[in-house]
Amino acid sequence: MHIQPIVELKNLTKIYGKGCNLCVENTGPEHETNICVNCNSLVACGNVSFELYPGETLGIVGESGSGKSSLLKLLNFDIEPTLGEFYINHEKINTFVGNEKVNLFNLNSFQKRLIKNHIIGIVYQYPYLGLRMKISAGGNIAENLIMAEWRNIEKIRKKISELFEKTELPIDRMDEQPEKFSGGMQQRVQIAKALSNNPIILLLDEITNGLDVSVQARILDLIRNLHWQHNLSIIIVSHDLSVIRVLTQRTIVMKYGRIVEVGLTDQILEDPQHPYTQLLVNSQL
Amino acid sequence: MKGYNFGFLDEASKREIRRKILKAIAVPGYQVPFSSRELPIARGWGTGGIQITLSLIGPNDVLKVIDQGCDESVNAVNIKKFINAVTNVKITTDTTKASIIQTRHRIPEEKMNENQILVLQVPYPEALRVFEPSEFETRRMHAEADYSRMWLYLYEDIVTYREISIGARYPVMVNKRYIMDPSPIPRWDIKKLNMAETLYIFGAGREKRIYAIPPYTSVEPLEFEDFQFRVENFMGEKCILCGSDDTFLDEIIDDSKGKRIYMCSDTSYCNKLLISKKVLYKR
Repeated sequence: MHIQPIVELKNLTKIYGKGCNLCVENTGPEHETNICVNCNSLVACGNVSFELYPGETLGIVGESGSGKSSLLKLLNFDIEPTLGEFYINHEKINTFVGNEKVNLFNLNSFQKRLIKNHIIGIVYQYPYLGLRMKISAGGNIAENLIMAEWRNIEKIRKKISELFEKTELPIDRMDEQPEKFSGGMQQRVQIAKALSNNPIILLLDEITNGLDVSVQARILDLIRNLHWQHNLSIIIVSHDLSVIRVLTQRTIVMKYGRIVEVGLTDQILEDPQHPYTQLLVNSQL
Repeated sequence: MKGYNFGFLDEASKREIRRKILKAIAVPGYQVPFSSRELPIARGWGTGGIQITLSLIGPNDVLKVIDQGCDESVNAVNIKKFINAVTNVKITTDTTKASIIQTRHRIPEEKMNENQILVLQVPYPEALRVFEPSEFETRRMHAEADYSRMWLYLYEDIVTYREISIGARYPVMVNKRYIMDPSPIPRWDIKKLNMAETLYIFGAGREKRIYAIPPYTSVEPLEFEDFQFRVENFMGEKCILCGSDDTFLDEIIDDSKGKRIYMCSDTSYCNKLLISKKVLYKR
């Protein structure tokens, strides 16, 4: 049976610098660089294509600078791609862009904002990227609700309380600024914010970095529960293979802005094919 | 005044300002940049309003200038003298008789009509500046009607103070499109902006912006369903001179008694009432 993917990404390329025709040719794992010798531009992602299926958790691994975070930022419309097509197949998107299948990268910034707010939830590696540290934790979540036309303080605060409960945050601290919170709590506020408008796709960027192991375990537990409760499709970027092993079904391995291997997570971790993946798996402590 | 053009500004400057005014009227609530000219008054002292008034005024106009409702305050008197010196137009204190009224921080109590123009002096034209320092970013927000952070600012205010603590400069939504700073008028005057018969033009000389509310345009103060906009409440206090309890009152400390007294902020309206009530108004 053929299952329709929820996300389709085709030939996504992001070049920093002026770029030339040879950029993609000149870079990648076989050249062991992501800088084009011809024009000195940096190719963060080159011809990246993949699908995400409904309810699936897809892992993206790779060393620093392999283009993992750039990829997530592109999917969240934080940065503009040089080339590429991005489709989300879900009825919820028709409300914002109509019934035709359109390349989401070509939408105007207003439509992109609607999709960011209603369809995609993102949790960044560093809480200060996803949160306004001087605004109350509740306010950070309220911002997303306000964007979705909520105009009733009581209802907004009730929704914030629900999200706090769901993400195991103390409700009586919702009016405090996240800068006063611990790292683990800040990540939870980010998760609560990402869930505020019932997204269908969740993007997670190295969410357990810098947290101690017990907190890490609880955050991962939380993600796994939310995944089932909300029927989310998740893309998770990590360089921690144990996180990938615990959460994901399928994994993409990236190097120098290219996908070098795709497969079932078990397969990739137990029987890596690409030399880089073999190195990655063998380097595990 | 000899040696000066009618209305002080040269005709090319007036034309530029008039064009910007037309654009502002065509896009209600949108801030139109203009090349604010040098005047014999420092920027930030009403130069935006003065330039609009000087560009609009003709020999048959009748001018009224008020400062916080008062016709006789220093700022109002000096602007009046200056404009009169360079145009020779008639000056009045009667709201109903003026064709152009330049004001700072108030809208007159008496209802204005379609043949009148109210020119407001604006210190800070950008309503979003309170939370966003970047002009690039605020312009983008206006262009995309991305106003969630303005609402978030109000949310935080409610969370901290249990109500929206903004007094003057209460942000309004113009024509269901642009969030606009109505200049530091009290909340009391905000409702006068909605579906008004009069043309309102706002000028910020230092910040080089002109914006407008054309007649019969919807102007709504930002409010939440359960935290509605409300105006100042004077708790039943009356004007000590004319006895009004339906006007915007100034609170003044009576130095001789050390007590609070209240007076109409709109002095010409107060005077008019006194005369109609045949009460002798002694200063």
